[in-house]
Amino acid sequence: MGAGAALAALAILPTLSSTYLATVVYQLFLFFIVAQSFDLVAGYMGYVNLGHYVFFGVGAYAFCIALVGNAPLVLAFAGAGLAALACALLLSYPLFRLRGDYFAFATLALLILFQILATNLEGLTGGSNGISLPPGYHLYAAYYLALAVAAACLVVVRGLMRLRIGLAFLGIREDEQAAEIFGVPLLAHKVLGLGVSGAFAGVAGGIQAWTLSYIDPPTVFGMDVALVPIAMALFGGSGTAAGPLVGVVALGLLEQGLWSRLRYLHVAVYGAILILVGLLMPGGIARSGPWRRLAALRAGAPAGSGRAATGGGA
Amino acid sequence: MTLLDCRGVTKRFGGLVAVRDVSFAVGLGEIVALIGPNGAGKTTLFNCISGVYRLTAGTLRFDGRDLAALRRDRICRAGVGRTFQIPRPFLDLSALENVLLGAVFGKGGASLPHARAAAQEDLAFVGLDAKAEAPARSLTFQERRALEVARALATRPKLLLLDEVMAGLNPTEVAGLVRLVRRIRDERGVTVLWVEHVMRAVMDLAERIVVLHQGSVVADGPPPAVVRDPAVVEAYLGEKYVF
Repeated sequence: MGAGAALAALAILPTLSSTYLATVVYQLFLFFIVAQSFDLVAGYMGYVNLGHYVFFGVGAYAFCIALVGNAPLVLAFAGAGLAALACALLLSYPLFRLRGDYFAFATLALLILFQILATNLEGLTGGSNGISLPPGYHLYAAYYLALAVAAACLVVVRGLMRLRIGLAFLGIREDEQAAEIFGVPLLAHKVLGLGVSGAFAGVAGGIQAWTLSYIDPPTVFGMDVALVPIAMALFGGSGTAAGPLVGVVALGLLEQGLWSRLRYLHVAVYGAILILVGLLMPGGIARSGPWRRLAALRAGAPAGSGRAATGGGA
Repeated sequence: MTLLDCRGVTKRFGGLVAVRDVSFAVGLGEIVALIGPNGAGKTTLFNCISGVYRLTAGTLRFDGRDLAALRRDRICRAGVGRTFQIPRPFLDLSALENVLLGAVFGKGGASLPHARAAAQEDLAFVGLDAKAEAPARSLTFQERRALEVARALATRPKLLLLDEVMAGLNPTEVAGLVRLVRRIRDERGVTVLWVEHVMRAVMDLAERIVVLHQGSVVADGPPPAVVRDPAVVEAYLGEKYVF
């Protein structure tokens, strides 16, 4: 019920609002796709892929190369997802030989590696000159496409977590060796998780490239952009159903609000708020006391105020 | 009929030979106790059978298959279930989800809806049905042990490896677990190979005892004969142990 209403509201938003607001919300969709697909692997499977954004970048490049090569738009978007998927499958072999912090740091290094590759493979990527696309995107088309992919990403992640695959992911997160001894084929599930995660990020990269009309290595592989969606997922609550969504909305709107009101201080205030929330709500907003009381209040609302009173008193 | 056949099983860690040329067999439907002093190689042997360690030498045949060639998850699906000496439940999942994972991915390979009913049943079997929705983190140590058994049973094993499930229990609790292990064999038809130090339980329950000492088998036979075997008395039980 709530989800349907939210989807309807988002669907009619561009017709009612300013282009500015539609652009902001559109950007949130892209952040959400990257944050949620990151969290499938990090939050549920327990593999913190700090280099998740390379799939976004690979998707962006694949899209641009396809479009410049006169491929139809639909094929270019499909190519973005498939290129990222292929990349995820290839990277699975070396990456999943590592665990924990070692995995996280190896994936962080991927960002640097891919930026260097994109800069040096000039024949394919245009090197540091980047790739320019002929202008021709429509904001509303991009908006609805991003909305559809974001919704699909949410549905796929929630759906997977209801299947036996989801149970395997949780087992891998909790105790990989025990999970294997109780019958979970480890590598197949890890590869599947990273593949799905990578494909969504790749499509998001393609959409972003379409609206930017120009990409170069730092725009799609730079550390400054790459860690933002990850910060959002962690800020909202990694491994919770609502976490990435909450984090994207909270940080995305905060950033916009600060930027428009505090021109010179916005980065400092943004940083200070991040630190405060980190201190006061370790585990993210969706694991914090106030958020849980709110959720309990919503769940218990029809039954009366009894639970709310208990929650407030606790 | 032989279910598990260990032949010349050897596991070496660098210069240390933890299990040395161990040969014994477990017949279908038997309850066999594996005893021996600390460091005798009992848990190492379990780790070899369940695939945690690769054998240095020897063969492990189970139900007509060579276990040494199988990955751990395939060993589980071939029908070997185990518990850990120190319980290792998935702490952030509920008791039911813990068991569900075994039911779905083990030899039973049930679909989720079927597995849910089976998992409930397995929890009830070990007396944890009231705790199904509780996070494993909130369970007591004894409950976590019961959960280990339920999770292993849920994989529908032919052979269950129990690693010191009775250590630290009071006599009433030991009696309860002895009944449980007997029911596992009688009602579920599961063969049990069981590492234990609690000799009272071993004498109550085991149909055969295999004694390990310094990585080697020093005795293998029916309980009354084994506990009177001079080599066993010398290595493990001590002179004063009388039945």
